[in-house]
Amino acid sequence: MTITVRLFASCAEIAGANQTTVPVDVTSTVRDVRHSLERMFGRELIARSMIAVNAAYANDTDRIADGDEIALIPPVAGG
Amino acid sequence: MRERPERCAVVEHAIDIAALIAEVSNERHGAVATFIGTVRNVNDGRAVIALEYSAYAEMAERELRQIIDEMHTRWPESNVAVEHRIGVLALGDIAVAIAVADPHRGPACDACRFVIEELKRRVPIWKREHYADGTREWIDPTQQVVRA
Repeated sequence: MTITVRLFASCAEIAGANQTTVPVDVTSTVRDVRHSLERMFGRELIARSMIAVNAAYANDTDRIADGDEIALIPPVAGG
Repeated sequence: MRERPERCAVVEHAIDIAALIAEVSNERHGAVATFIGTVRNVNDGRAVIALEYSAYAEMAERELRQIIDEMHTRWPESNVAVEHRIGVLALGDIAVAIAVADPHRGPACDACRFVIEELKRRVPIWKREHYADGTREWIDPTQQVVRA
């Protein structure tokens, strides 16, 4: 199955879209999502970015569940 | 005691700092500290003409709420209101404003500093600089910018 990843800022610009999809299965973790995103954005940018699951920062070992809202969070620059 | 949830919002309108001060002020407090972040005209030697902010709004407000909770554990008497504006902002516009009230000045200043530092560290908001030469660039604070 696939899951939608919301994109923002520089990542949305690179993708030309505000979301993308990555393949996942029942054992997928945040780290797996990272690896999938590296193909689109490059390892270096993904290494400097965070992943959010359901609007909260996630750890690489967190599991992805069906229906989770995933977001790619490039280095933040508020304020 | 806090009677109602403190304001922490991502907004698209011009920020009214006086309104934020009024929100946090009451007779318990003897001090109000504020931080105002504005759009400036030069970054890293390049002439900036506008600053475009975007946000993952639901998560930004959630992170702001967590920052406020952490603030309260360290400064239990303080009240806070914070707004961050998104959209295309002109030079001099207020991008972010924080008001913290406390019975005493030390906690008010310290708590205000805490909120802006944590906001910049972790709230999912991004900025794109618009330059005088027509180019635009998303800002990555983790990158060293190398100019040829």
